[in-house]
Amino acid sequence: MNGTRQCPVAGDGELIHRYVAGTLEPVETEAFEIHLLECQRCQRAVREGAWVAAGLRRHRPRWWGATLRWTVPIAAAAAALWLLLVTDSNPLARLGRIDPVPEFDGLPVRPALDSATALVDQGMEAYRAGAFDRAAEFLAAAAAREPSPGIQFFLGIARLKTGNVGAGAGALITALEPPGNPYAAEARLYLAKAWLALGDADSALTHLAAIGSGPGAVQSHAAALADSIRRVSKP
Amino acid sequence: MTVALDPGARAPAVEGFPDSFTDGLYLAALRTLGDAEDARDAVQETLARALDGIRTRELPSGVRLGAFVHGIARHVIVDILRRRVRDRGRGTRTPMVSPHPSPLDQLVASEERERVRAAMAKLPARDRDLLRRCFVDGERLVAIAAELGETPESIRKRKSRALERLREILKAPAHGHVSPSDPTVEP
Repeated sequence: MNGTRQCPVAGDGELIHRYVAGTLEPVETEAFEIHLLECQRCQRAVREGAWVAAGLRRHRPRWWGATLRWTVPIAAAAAALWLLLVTDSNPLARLGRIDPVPEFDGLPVRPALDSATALVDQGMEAYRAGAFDRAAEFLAAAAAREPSPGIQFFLGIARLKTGNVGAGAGALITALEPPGNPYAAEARLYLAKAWLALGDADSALTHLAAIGSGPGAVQSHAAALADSIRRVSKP
Repeated sequence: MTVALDPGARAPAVEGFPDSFTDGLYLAALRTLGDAEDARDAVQETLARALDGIRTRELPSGVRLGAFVHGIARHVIVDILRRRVRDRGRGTRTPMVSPHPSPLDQLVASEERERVRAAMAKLPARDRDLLRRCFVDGERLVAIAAELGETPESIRKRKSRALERLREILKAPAHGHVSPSDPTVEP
């Protein structure tokens, strides 16, 4: 579709502004992006929306975006210390705490010792025992052999529990794919907690809003968490 | 666009194929990856794989080319995300992409952002609030309408008029010649 013909999607505009804001559900995002490939009108509208959003947003210091890659490892280390020292006095960090961790009910199998399944078994045994460093090692090795949303999800939780917020969030982002997988909604919930651990309420709320039509328990947990964030973030 | 492969023919005409898809792929990749360099890499890798797939007739007859290319793009993007996770495990650099501000903010240079912000300040507060609820908070028109006691259609019109006002302000001489509907940042 070229720029002169009317586009039914651009005509409404809601998909575009929700795409720019990041609140489309995964299925909507996929359908819209397929459309976006061929529709120059929507491409221009998305770019315009990005301008509008950038002009409306509160200014965040340049270092946040430009040097995030350097600050995240430092922030992750700081977050671990912060979680220890400040959690009880900082309401956002308290909301970002993961306690208890998501449960895992795997069935015992007899896999080859060096298989991804064996690594997952060992990783989840450590996870259940609360040895999250060890769990993360096994799960990372398993993910390298057989990347799947489930492995990435528990790897993300294990890393968050060790205070490695950046790596934990990275694994959880990977667990969002493919859209609609059984771990995607819960991965967003814990991504929100990762951002809370870094003190970023806005990013946490964006992830919670994107949960959309996840399982009921996750949705209600997300809604309650969003309410709590808004309450404690009030100036 | 629908591409039907004829086994006896050469690959379907794909001249201009990268041009027509590049911008859409770039926006989608940037939206997920939050890094302009990685997004450009994702576009190149996706188009290379897509062209290869078309040449080797991996595209089933009747499958929409957009869906085919988007499917490849998702794999490429996930590969990049996984590489980041591995890199983080090894302690090398990897950005954690904040969804707020949007990764798409990178489409707007910092000086342009200031210019848009100045133009935004000239809009009535009511327009600004509506645009914020749409483009920053991502609310549905029907939800905004219900809260404000208006119809979704009137909210849509108000949003459309607010955008038009903003374009007019940005077109004014004091704001130079570049408008947001004429974006200057190319992938």
